[in-house]
Amino acid sequence: MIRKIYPLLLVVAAMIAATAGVVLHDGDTLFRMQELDLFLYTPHFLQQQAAQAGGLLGYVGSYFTQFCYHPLTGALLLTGWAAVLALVTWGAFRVRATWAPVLLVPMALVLVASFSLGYWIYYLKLRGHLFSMPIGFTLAVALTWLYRVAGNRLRAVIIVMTPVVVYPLAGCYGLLATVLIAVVGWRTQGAAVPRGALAGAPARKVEGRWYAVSAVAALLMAVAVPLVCYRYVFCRTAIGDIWTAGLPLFAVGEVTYYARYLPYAAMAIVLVAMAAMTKAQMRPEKPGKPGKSGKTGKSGKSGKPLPGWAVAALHVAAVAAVAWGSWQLWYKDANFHRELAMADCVERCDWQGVLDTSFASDDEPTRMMVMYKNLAVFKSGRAGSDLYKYRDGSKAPATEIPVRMVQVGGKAVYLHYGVVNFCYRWCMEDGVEYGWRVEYLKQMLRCAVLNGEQALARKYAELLSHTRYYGDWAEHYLLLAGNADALAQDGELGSVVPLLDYDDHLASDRAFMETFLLSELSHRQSDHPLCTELSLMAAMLLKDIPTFWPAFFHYANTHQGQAMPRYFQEAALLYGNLEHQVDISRMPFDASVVECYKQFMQFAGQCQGMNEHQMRDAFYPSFGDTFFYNYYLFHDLTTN
Amino acid sequence: MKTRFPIIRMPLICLLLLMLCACRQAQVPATYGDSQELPAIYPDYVGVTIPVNMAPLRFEVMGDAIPSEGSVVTRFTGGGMELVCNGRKVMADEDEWHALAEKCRNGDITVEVFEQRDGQWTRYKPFAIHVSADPIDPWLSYRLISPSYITFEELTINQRCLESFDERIVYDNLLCSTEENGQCVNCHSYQRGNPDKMQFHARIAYGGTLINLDGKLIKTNLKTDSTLSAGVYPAWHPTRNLIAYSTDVTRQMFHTRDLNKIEVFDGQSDLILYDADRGEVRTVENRSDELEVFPAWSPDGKYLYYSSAHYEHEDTISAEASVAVNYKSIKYNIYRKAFDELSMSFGSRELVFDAAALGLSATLPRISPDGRWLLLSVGEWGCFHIWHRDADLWLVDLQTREARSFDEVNSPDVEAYHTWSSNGRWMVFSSRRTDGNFTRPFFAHVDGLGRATKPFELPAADPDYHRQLLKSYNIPELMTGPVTVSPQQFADALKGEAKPAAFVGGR
Repeated sequence: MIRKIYPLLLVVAAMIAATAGVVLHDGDTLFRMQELDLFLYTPHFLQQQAAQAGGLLGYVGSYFTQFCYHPLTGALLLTGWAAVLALVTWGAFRVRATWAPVLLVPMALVLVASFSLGYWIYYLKLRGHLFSMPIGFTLAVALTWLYRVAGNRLRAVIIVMTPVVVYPLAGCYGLLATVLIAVVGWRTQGAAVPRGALAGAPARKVEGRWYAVSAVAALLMAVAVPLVCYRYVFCRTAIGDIWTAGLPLFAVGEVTYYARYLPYAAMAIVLVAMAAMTKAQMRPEKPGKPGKSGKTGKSGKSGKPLPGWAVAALHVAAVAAVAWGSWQLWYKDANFHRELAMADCVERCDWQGVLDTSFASDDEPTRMMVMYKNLAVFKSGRAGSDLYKYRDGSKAPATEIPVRMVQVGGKAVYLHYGVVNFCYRWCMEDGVEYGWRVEYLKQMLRCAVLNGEQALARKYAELLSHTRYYGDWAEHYLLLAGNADALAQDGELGSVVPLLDYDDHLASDRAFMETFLLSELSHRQSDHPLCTELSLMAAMLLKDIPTFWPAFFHYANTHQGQAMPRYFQEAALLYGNLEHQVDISRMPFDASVVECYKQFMQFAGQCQGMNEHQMRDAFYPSFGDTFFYNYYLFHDLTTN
Repeated sequence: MKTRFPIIRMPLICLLLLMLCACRQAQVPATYGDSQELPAIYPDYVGVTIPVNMAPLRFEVMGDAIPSEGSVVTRFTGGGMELVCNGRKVMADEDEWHALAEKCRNGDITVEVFEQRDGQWTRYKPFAIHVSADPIDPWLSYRLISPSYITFEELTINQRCLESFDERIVYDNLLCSTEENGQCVNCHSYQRGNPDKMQFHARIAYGGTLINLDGKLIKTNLKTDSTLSAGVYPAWHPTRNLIAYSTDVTRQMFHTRDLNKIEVFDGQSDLILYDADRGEVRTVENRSDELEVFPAWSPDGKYLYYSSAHYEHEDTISAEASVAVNYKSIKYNIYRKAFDELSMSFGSRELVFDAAALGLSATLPRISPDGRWLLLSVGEWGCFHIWHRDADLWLVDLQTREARSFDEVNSPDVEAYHTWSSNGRWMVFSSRRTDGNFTRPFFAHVDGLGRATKPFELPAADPDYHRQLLKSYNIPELMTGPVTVSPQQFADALKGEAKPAAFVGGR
């Protein structure tokens, strides 16, 4: 009994282990992926998806992706689909218990394809990406299984209907099903059709010629159906892409990253190989006593079977190899996960959470992390006192693709600094480029509320009301639209309102968010104390002395009677000594600031001959949290 | 004989019957109180005038006190006929609507909305939908485009039967696009609404101008060494295979705070004429101190109208940079030039509407088929009024040259792209009045004295459709029938080589 259900037990055990691993390591990724997808409970959304080959698969994929709002649910669903794929493979290809670890390969490929993405999650265009692969392959194998157990008449129907019906719905997975059916048909020619076929056909020998014809017919259908669909059914796919409809697009700009298709190719090869080996695995049927499907047995080949302990050892080794291989291919960049954590904190206005994440990192941060940190410092009201207490840097995102900050977390950063039009613009641009996502609709709703565009806010709120999880969220913002008092009091957008007090002009960020933002913020001409603080912070970050002084004096004028924060003093002291353009002799610098500056300069004299990186290490213990340190020792930062 | 699929067929039949009978089954409440308020409905069809052949005006009864679908009943009456619909979404059957509209030709359809609250039925103040005997051209084409600024992914030129909800794709850019090389399509245009005389441009991948001459597809490259760019804004001559184009060096920048969000402007622009039969391009106007754009023919083909702004570029910076700095000072007027078909020559320009003198900028001249009315889009500056919230439609009487803001049709938001129907009694225009960001086509009746009725939004099969649609209707053009060339045929033609146009001089 145990032997009979051993593959099932193995798959279930693997599913449980995978769920735990996914939740613990990539719960944040799952949550972000549902924010970067969209499922609307409307007929219009379904119609839009169904307008292209494979569109329904994306629709179903999106349906499941939305549940990643609860990462445990999302992980269970994903690993559940991977397990279903493994079990369907077991049934379709009659994988014997001896070979049960092979069933973990499709599962592993699903997980690798899903969690080796990293920054790709921001650049995926396929709707429902996360679930499309397991569902698509499961569908293909399930149809193959259906074909195997069907009677001859039904088999003919399946051969014809698989590409005709499944290709429009599931794209290339329908074609894969057709190929698998052709292979199975070829490999099982002359074999017995098992009893219990769906059409109720009795087991009997079937002419090999029939199988050959059906296999060839299936392959011809796989070629012809997409062509017919291109010409007469759909008009949203170029002819060069019709045989890959339903697959994700791993392209950024003008470069396609073909290596990303390896899990898909490997899965197809594994399944075709299993289909090709089908006959060898079939138990010979006794005349007059048709085979009992699903029962495993000896291969029929002569030879001494391995002892039980050896088989068990091999299984353990195989499972370990699959697990180890999967983990090797898993995306594990710590900064990526820190960015996700920070983005989540920004979404909840948990500024201390952003700062804690930044502080906890002992690695060089990415520029996106620094941008989040700067925003959090400002929102916490500690720009002048805490800005340089955290690590600076510009570590490149660990990915092969060029990552733009506007496409990662830039929209939220723009919004919270009050650059609402540019937040809106990038939501619109990326919504067009990568498809509409929950995140974009949320940000656009916020922008509309801040801009006082009530009708537009209602539009986005209504769209979000058709999602499973964001209807109530949207309703809250809709109440703020057109209600200036409520908006000003709002815990999130209320802090943005004062930052909207600036004159309009024409500009373009050319997708270089940080430089554009610092330039814009540092030149704002508002008298609101919050704005002048922001301008001064931006001017310091720009390290542009002519920009600094007007911002500094503007800040001083709007904060009279208040102590000048430490970092603003440090910058004024340094710039005053550097260029002597401004008389700082009567500025009441704190003694500690002056002393720190003197010590910094003395130490600099002792470090002659060091390069910038050596000096960074040498200065860090004593001066790592000073403006002087950042000004002198961070010249090679790269940003966009 | 046994029925083959009874399990599948029966529910399907029931469902169809239910859908067909949705309106018939509804009943107006026997007792109700009257409200003096008009019902809040979307789209706003209260008091509008429609052509007799228009598809049903389907709308949604708004309000937050609707406990269930069955709590709203709507009755349409007129010409002795009654049509009753159940539910918040009022979706009259097409055939019944057309029968009702036919009976109410030159009369009114009275609409009564009944709403049940706390068990009590209330009838809102009834309103009328006026049915004009003047039909509208049965097809409308438009480009569906997200109101993005730089990116584009899927762009389609669609056509919609105005007598029903039949919508078809004329061309989808994804048929030719590759990820590495996207394709933009734009500026579809017809000769007097004839779907067999059509043109549109493709940019970037498989770029060129595709011209359909009665089923013969010609792909041409209108960029020559002597012109600024390929053809941009087109205008078909009413009788000959001549297309006037502007050539433009267009730039765009983004507002940091203004709700208009984007500013699009021409750094340079000229006018050319393309002879599709000969494959020849000639210059119409290319003055260095003028920005000429938006050509439009008079109905008799004897005049070419266009917009032009006087602008003298600064020497120290590029023309585009100069315009970017001074964009608010650029005001377009409307001019026209006489055209001699025999010699293919144009006369000198004549000022038709001096918008600059009013501190305004006038674009997109469109002359009514009877030649009397000149319809314009007018804003405070510039030429790209589709992004200017102050942009309104203006009407100029070409007999008296009197101009007025077309207040009957304008809204506080953008009104920009407009077209006349072939009988001159209807106009369609783009407006962002619904939400400020997404343009929708609106229709209005215009009588012989140049008076317009309240505009109404293009009705959709599902009244909620336009609120869910994240695309704009761009360049609504009325047509006398559908385009019959398939999207794939257009794609096949676009994949071919573009035939270079020959430049043959000017004016």
